[in-house]
Amino acid sequence: MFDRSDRRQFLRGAGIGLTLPMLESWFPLVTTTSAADEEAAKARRFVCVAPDYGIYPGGFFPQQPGRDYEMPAVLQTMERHRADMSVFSQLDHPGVGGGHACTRTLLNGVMANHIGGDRRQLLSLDQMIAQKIGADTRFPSLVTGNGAPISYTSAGIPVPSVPDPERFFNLLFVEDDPTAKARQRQALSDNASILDVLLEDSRSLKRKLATQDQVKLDEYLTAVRETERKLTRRNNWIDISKPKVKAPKADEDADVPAGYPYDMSLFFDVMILALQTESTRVLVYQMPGGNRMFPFDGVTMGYHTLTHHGKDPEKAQQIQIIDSYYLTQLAHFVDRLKSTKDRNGQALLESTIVMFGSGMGNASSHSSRDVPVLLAGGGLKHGGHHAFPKDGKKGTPLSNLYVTLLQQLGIESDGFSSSHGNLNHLLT
Amino acid sequence: MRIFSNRHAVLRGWKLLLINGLSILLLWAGEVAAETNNTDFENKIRPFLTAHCLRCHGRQERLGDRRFDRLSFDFSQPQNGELLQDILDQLNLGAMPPEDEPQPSAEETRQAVDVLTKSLAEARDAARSHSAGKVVLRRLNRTEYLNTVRDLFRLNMSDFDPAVAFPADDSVEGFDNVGEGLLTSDFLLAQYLEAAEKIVEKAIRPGPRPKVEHIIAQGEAIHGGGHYDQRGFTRALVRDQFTRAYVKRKYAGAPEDGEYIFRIRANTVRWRGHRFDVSELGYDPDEAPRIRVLIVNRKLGTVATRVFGEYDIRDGEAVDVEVRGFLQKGYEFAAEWANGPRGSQKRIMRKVFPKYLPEDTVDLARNPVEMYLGAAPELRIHKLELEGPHYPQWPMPGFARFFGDLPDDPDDEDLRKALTRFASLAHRSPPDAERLERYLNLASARFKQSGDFWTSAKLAMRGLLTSPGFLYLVEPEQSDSSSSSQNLDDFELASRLSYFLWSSMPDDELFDLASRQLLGKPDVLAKQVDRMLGDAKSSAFVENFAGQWLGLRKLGAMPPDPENNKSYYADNLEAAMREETLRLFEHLLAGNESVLNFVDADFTFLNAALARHYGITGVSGDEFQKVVFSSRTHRGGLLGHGSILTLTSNGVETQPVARGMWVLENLLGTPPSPPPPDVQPVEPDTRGVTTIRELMAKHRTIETCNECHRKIDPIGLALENFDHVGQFRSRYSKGLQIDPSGEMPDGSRFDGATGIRRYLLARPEQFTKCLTEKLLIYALGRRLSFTDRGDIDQIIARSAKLDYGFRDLVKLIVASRAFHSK
Repeated sequence: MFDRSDRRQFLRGAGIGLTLPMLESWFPLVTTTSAADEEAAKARRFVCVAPDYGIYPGGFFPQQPGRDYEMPAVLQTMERHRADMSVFSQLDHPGVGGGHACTRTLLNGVMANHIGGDRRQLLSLDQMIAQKIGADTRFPSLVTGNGAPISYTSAGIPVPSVPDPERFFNLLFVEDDPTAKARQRQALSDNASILDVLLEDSRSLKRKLATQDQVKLDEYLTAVRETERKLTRRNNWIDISKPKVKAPKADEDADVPAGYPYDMSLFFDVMILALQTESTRVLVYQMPGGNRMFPFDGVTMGYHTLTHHGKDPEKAQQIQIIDSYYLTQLAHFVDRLKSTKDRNGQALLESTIVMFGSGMGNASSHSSRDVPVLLAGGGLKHGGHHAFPKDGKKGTPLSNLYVTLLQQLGIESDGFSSSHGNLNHLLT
Repeated sequence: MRIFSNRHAVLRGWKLLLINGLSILLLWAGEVAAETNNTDFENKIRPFLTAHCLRCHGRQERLGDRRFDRLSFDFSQPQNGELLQDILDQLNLGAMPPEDEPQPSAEETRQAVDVLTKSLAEARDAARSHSAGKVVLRRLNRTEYLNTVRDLFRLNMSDFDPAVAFPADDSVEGFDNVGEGLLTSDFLLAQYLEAAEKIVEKAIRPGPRPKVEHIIAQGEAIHGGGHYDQRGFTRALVRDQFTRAYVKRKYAGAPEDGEYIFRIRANTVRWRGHRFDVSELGYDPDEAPRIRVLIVNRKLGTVATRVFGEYDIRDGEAVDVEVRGFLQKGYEFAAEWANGPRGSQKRIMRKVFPKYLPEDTVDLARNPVEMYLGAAPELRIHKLELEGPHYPQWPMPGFARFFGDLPDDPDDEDLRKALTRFASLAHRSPPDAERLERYLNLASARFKQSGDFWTSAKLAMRGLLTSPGFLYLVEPEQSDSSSSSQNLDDFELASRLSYFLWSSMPDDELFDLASRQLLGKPDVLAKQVDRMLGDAKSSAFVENFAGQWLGLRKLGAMPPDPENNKSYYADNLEAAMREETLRLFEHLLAGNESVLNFVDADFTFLNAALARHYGITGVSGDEFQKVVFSSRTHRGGLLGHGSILTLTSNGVETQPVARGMWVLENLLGTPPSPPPPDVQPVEPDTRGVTTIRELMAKHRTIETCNECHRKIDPIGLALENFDHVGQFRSRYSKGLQIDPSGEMPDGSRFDGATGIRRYLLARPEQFTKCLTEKLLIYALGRRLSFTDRGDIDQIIARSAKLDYGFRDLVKLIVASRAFHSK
């Protein structure tokens, strides 16, 4: 049932040529992180891969808890990573309702319409991590893919995504020419003077507004201050060359059509390069939903239609073909994280937490209960399937896991979103 | 499918205020609570609620996420106002208690309705002067931003989109111009800074009129795909998406923004009279051969390619085609064959030629393309000319507007004068001297330091284009806030009106009326509405309001699969469907015809392709035309529009729940409430059902589902006679008969789309209320509150007297008290 996608993905992988000269030259940056922090952190990078519509539960969650679980159908290609990954059952975000909007709660555990106007509650895990460990890289974090936005800044604004692998690559690795750089410098200095004026102007304006308008204008003021901060950062990076790498390319001879969903592997390729060159340490890849037809053998209905399987065995069978393709891509990504070394000569996976998950549990009912979550790497204790039985409505919040992840990344934290503890006892 | 209802959205809005505006509420509580009369509540309302409502909407059940056990007439608790209004509406509609529950006596109901009506009216009046129903500072959305830039600088914006990288605007209550949803982030601000730089570079063009260049390309100089014919003088093309003719090789496009003239001398040969079967070549020789002119940017590629027009030429004798159009710097014209043989010449040589020639004589690898040329139809381009840039006015009007009267050697005073003029237009009101000073100083300082007048002017303009005064519709509090209601001043009114009808800034006439303080007069305002709706800019109202009210913008989000819906793509039905609905909207608005035509009409607007799709005969051509239905039809009104029926399907099958919700939300204005947040839907088990009706019936056996789905499903199922692309059917593909009968929540039975239409037509005020609410949200850029009910009821009553004319309704909105309040 998975032969064809397997073969495709193999061919895809074979076509990628990477030459990575002089790794050391990409790490000339003075890091502000102290040696002690680095020491405390057992992981240094965080990657989240998130499909919009979840994964068919019957194909994802193992039947048995513990280490000797039988690998479920959709996870078959992850078998080779069994010792380096953990699967979680019956974790979710309490208080999050169903509907398509639950997808967007994966990394913050809260619905945008439940925050009573306080958008700061929307801050997502990846952005919290980026605030702490992203300062020394060119990009504190990057979001890519075409799925529903799941990454929110501390002001509660969705982080725009780089929608295609080519732009993603260019942003990371294509150098601007000297005239462009000179122009950028001029623009940055102009903008700095403009921002000063905007700040003063909006402060005077604010005094003339009614209370509800003042609250709204605060949003603008925050944006001005934040832009000022980012301009300074960008200014510092203009003169530092981007790392030089060869662009990943699909193998022209392979019998693989271009475009979605096959460009999924290109996203993963660029992500590997981004991590390897320390261009960023925090990545989110949002995989899109929609009702497109996946050109796989045995798939005859649109993706969205299939996710509403209503227990129809035919649909359940087809949705698992697509889900397996996702997991096959992930398995290959983990392969590459194992074979690629960081600057300490260690496999990237050792210090990279990979989280695969969705804010949607069973897409058939748009449920946000029991969401699929899988972790790999990051120096965590792996190999098991952790099931968290529910006592009536009360279960274990997914955010408990996030607290453990934060700590693993050297970020002191005893709570995140709705957490009431952590999962250190299972993973560290 | 879960869609949040208006009422819940309102409640959420209140939560927002509770957190952020606690002080407002405390103030309000102090003043309003004194006016409430809780004796009435305890004596007349509480017993009624206890007897008829609390079992389902009490502490335990909370159906529809509503509990009434804590209600009172204490209107300092905002949810009380919203819930009581909701109860009143349900009682008036007769929708509650549900029909299968014991009913209150007529006298009980009358008394409850009376008390509620009176108390709510009092509370509204008291609350109006406070925070309820106030417009939150509104940022321009992407569309408004672009239109404003266009009108401020009188720029031609085709092929110029400085907002291309702006993050998408969020919608609230279904509209993307509601202040609350229009967030400003540092991502967006950085984009504003960049966009402002691009815009001033385009608009500020001092110096002499650019010289006109004239390029003539013939023979080899004509660049692009295609081939010389054997004599080498002309460029012959076949139809192929990559085969285009450009004026010359490596032309970098227009050297300056401006108007250019493009001339093409061309003809076809062998349009008829060749040996091939035309169906195999895939073209129609009964049409005249046509040239398609495109505007392209070869550097940017396919993303920057658009069709400018198509023009008939002749077979045999060459003719000249001349077009005149605006090119942005770097763009150019190109020509291609619009209706020649379809596909590439490769296809024709591979698939068609072997049928006419001995097999071994055709070998694509060996035979040169000349084999094709000389045998089949060809387009020959003899000459291309490009001439420009031309300017009807120089300096360009958007530049002259601010800098038209500069002396040869302008000084700091000239700089400040021009920028002041610019600021008053950019801020759409007389400038506030203190705030303006900072921008002027920014320019002056740069001028003093660099001596460069234009960089200095541009710097301040970039600042002004990123300032809150430009980006937001600012309505400062009146300083004498002793007056309880905050009315818009004339300039603020001009902006509210122009962003309502034009999605753009006011024009000179509106500014002029505002500065003379005439705009607020009812007759002046009504006249302006007529003038503005007659202006081409009002297409923004049609596209943005209708596009969002009816969900037309979602059309295409779940497109039908191309394999099984070939004509949908070949005939461009998606665009045609959208056009049909927009035409109906435009038509009713232009002719002030009754809005009930949205519910049912004996006419629509079709082109040949869409008529064919609907199975309607007698319509020809690509142009849309008014078609009056001669006999009984399934098509009258929005419920028969392909657009609506397609956008409520998922591309493969119909979605009755989505259709039911669409009707409840957009025609009836009674969206059911979402399930309470912590109740998870039960996973449907659909094994063993054969029709969608059975499937949904199974779903409704679960009581929590049934509560809302008994309202949604019957309407959706009644539309099952229309398939996923809006074609009529009486059976499913498996041969099962479709049963379109159903029952409304109030118990009235109906049959199919016609039944829904009849139900709505019998309740004209209900549809009008729905449309009025949508118009008000869009016009005000905010959620509605229970304090708006007086205005809404008045608008509906007056509209009924005016036979529900659409334009009259728009004028009633503009005349309403809410429209004039901050």
